[in-house]
Amino acid sequence: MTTTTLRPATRPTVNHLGLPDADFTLSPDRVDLWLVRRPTGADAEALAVAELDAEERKRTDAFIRRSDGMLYAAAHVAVRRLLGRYTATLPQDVRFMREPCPGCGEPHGRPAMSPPPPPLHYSLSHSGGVALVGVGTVPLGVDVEKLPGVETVDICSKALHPDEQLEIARAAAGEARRQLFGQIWTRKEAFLKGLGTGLSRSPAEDYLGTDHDRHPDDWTMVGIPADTSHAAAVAVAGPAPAVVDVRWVPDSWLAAGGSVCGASAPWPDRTPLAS
Amino acid sequence: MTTLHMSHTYETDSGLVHISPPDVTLLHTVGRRERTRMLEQYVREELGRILGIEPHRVDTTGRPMGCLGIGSISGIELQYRMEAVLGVDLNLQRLLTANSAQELIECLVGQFGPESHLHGAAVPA
Repeated sequence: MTTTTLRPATRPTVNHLGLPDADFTLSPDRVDLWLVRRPTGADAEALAVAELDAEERKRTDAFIRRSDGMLYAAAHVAVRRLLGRYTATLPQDVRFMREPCPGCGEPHGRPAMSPPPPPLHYSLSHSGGVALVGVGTVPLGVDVEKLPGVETVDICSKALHPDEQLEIARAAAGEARRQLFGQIWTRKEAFLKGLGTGLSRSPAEDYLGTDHDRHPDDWTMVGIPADTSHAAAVAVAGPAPAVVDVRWVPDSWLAAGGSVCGASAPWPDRTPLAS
Repeated sequence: MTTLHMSHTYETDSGLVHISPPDVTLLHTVGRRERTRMLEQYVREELGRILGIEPHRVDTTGRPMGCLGIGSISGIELQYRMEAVLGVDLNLQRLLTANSAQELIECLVGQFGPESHLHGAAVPA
């Protein structure tokens, strides 16, 4: 197994290569992350969209770009099948709710299963052909973003914490700056999703830059290896979990007639790259 | 106001599209119908830039912003571009959760009319 130790003793170990098959158990020492790639061709045709509810199917059809709708559908099939596997529930029987917003108390906070199956918490993000699902025993947030272009980075950096802006401005122009922006932004949005506020809390309010010691108390932010064109991160409430396991979901797990498998599952042939 | 370097052209499969930001002074003086037309054209151009499609292909009425392809980063980009060009403040969360681009257009229209002077700075931030 290949591991990436980000900070010994105080940071989780991120496992992402050669992992044994998941056993779909929950542990306070571990967060499971599942990456999903937008299916294409025969895999797209085979996607188990019948397991989505009416609202999810309506939204799938509402995307102006069919590829965005396909990623949305695949992400939600994945969420239903993965959460179903963790909770021994049929995918089509998985129900969702919104927790109260920590700001106003209205039901638009973190998404959750309904009724809540303690201690399972999950989070979902999708962008530019890749989705990310996080599952753990404590509140968490995940974010994956396709790396934006140079001009977008310059514009959107203005929305960040002043010290994050400085760090991005000091990075070498071009690829290094895009990568750093992606890392900071995904930590930021994962944290805000974990809090349950989303972007109703200003992206300038909290520091999620390169100095982990200055990150918000009581949360652990971890960069996740995705692929060369995406940045990804998870934010976990409370003490840092010992390990974060990152796996790609095989397309076959999302096909009609297929299912999320354990030990007998075919291993994904896409090798993620360390971020 | 933050100064940003922003290009005024973008490419689509059909060719180069030139973005023509509206004259802010004119927006304050024209009637509501003309103001709506000017701002709708501008919003179409900015959304078209992000989506990589021609402005006339942008659906302004039938889809929420998320289904247009506006995510968190592109939403912030849209917010900052429009704030810089129009000199208004926009609420990011409301922009991202708008039920259609038309809601955004109407919000902008309301900020340039006589009603905005009657009610002080009608800024939905």
